Amino acid sequence: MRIFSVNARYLIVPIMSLLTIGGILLGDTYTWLGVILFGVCTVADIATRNIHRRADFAPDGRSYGVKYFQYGVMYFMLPVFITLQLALAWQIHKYASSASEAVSVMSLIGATLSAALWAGLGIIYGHELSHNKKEGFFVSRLIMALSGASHFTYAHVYNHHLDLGHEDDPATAPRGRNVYAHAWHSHMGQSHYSYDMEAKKAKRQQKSFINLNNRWLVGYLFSLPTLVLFIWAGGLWGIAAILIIWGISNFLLEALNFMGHYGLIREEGKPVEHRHSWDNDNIFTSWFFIEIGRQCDHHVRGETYFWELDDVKGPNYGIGYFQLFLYILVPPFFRKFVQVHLDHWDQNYATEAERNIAQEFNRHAKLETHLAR
Amino acid sequence: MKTLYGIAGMTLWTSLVALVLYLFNAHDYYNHFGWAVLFGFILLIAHVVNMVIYFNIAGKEPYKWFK
Repeated sequence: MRIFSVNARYLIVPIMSLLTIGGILLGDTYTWLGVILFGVCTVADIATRNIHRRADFAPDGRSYGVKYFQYGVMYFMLPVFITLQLALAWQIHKYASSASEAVSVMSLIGATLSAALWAGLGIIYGHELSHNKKEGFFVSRLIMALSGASHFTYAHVYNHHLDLGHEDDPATAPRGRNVYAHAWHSHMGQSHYSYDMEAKKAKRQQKSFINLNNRWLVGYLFSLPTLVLFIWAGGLWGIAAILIIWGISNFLLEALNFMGHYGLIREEGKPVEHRHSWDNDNIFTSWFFIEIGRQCDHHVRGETYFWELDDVKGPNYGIGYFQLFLYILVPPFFRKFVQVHLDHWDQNYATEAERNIAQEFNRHAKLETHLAR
Repeated sequence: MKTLYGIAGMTLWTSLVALVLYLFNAHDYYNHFGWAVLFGFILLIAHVVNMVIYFNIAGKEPYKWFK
């Protein structure tokens, strides 16, 4: 029974993704189901913000997680997200070909937003599989390509994890930056990293930059079927839909990066420690986001299965991702909220060198710190 | 500032590609699968070129913490 409950609790996103697909296929007001489910999850996350649990292990120390089941679910999500795009493309095709008689603009907007939100949440599987050295890495590339972000898989492992908490990592948001600016800089910075990596490799091998071993270019080629599908389904309507899907899903990805590391600092050359990430580990966030909120442990033990990640008493916002996501959408509010946590980090977690960099930030960004008062 | 120059460069390039597609009446042929593949490929190349334009104009400056 314990094995069942520990494994089944991570099925929230797969089940809700299937419901979202069903809503889009049913059409009419059902297309908004994905948006409504996102709202329901936000309420559930806020309601459970004070419930925090440790990872579950048997008395003899064995994990209750069943590896083959969890990996099976993650691989299964690739066809699920493809079906999500096919369902939306079908609605767009009906709208574009019958000039709005079969499908209303409102239901098309609902279908697009629903697909975009749940495609964005698919990133949690793209992230988890990026840490797999075998076929999972390739599946991660394909999942991310559905959002036009296949470069993420390399940049996340070789850039974000190695350069965390430093300006060399574009996914670490420096103090004073808002989530909207971060989404742009982080996305472009990670792609830039992959581009540079492939440019150096081509130069070293004395090859042209344009070659089929260029993983940056091939990553974008993986997105070609999605583009063709939406153009074929609805021309300009299809292009508009895919721009919204890619825009929202990449914003959600970068929002997760923003929440996971905002304002935390690591001195160059020093090891990545628990203190260089924020945990968001209330019960709903943990189960919904397959423990991605246990960032402190994840960044120190990157290849640990998500169901084994635990509370390591690192920096913790004390609330879940959905609630924090609402905060970061309003930058002045988030800045006030996070300053208390940053001051606590500066006093209780930072080394002397990290504290000096933090003070430089405070001078640059003119942040009003509680420490300064 | 370099970020804005980079975005301006991307906007110019995207507008140029959109104009050329419009002049070739691409919007009238999208529902033929072969043309859809071609347009998809053109847009993907436009996107990749956009990224390269941005990288070259903006450089590393946008990622510096203290400018």
